[in-house]
Amino acid sequence: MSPDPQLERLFSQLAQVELPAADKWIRPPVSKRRWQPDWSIALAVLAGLLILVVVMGTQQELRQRAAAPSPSSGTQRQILLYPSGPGENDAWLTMLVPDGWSVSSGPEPVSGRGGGTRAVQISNRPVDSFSTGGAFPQQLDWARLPLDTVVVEVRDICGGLMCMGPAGESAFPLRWADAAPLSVGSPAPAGFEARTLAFRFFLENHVVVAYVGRDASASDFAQVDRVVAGLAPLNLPATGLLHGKWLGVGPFSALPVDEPVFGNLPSPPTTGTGYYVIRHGSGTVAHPMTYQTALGVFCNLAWDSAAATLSCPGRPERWDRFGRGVEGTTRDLDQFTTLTKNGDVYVNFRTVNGGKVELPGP
Amino acid sequence: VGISPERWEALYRQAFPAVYRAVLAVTLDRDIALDALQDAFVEGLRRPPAVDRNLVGWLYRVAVRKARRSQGRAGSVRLRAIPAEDGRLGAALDALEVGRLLDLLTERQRVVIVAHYFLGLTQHEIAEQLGIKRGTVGATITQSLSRMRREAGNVS
Repeated sequence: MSPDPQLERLFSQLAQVELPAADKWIRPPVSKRRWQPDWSIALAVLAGLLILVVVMGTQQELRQRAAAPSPSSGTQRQILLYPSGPGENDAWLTMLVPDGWSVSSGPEPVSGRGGGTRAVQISNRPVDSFSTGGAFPQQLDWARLPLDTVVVEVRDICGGLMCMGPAGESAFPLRWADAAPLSVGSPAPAGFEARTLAFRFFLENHVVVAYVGRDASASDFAQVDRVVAGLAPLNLPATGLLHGKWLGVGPFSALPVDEPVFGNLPSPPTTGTGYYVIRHGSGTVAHPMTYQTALGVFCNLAWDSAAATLSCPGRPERWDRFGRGVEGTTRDLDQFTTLTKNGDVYVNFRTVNGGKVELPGP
Repeated sequence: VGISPERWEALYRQAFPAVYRAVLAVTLDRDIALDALQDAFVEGLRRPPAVDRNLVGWLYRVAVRKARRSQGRAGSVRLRAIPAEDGRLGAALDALEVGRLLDLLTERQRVVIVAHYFLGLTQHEIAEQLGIKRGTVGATITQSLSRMRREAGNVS
């Protein structure tokens, strides 16, 4: 849309500016806070203490994991990666770090050179000793790094506008041979070769970025292939909450064909308290169980197996099994995003898509 | 007939990342951008938009208006000097260069350029949200681009 590449590049970088934590996106109304000041203060203090304990525990655990070699991994140790999104406390990927290499884990915003949020940074030199820009501590001062340095980072790519990445879920192990020269944002630092490899996991795009100094040893250079090949998803639970927004609903093969399966959401999100998912051909469709009428009233959908329609008690609207309006309404039901991964079905109940129902292909 | 609170919150959360960054580009102040969007959310709860069409434009307009009010009596959103203590944000926006380019523009030009090229709103939508004529939007974009291109050579 922008008329010249410079403007497009500038706004593309703006699209990667760090967001506030999701729990700060909405501020409780002042009137509500004044109703119960004692409870609010007490809850805030308790929540603060809880967060402090969790953060300290997590940091300690990460430090221990980073410091302790895995007994079964021989010359490599295993670390866990955590997604950077708010409310997501589950580790989602594991990574092997060569012996003698250092690790800086935990989400950190990065600026320039593609931007994004960095989940981990590992290097053949001590990461903590790296010189960083004074104004932006997360950004390495490449000019002061020895040219035998190798740095590998895993980052999230922007989650909104102008994001690019693989079209489908990536297969693991990743192949570093598929990496491309770094071209987003700015060229590689002087004296370094920078390459990137994008991958897609649970419909979100991530990227591995490796910087290899021109004096790096052949063995350190070769470690990059091993590090990337060692990047792998953790075992995913087939059911239950995952990453704060996905709900595992079990094996695809266990879902009845063309028959809605209802379930409760783990914590009432903004879209009601329940969902239903229906298997269709080789895909699935999921909808909130709650429907909002034209008058703004909410009702819970029920399945009429005889008529093979969904409806609210006492309401004239009817939808077919896939949420398409068939009687009394021209509106289709809102949709949740679904994903079938390793044979299990997951529903993203944090994102609601309006408009026409889209059925998966055969 | 408006949007239910639950629906409104869901739509707000969807639009937040893009609109927050847009308001940040206009104000260059994280606190003001966040406060303005929080206020816009509350206003949406009290007086929900009649339809959920172009909610990004609605949120952007209301948040910019809130930011303008919170930024002083002058009645216009002024690009603030980046606080020295917020070095990370300063360096980030400095690296983006967008701050320096937008600094060349008037308030209205900034608001329109960000709405059009970052949020992807059409000229018609911008005119509708800002209460100005579509021709004015087009002319504002043309003038802004011309000015930015003239000065772009001075921005590394």
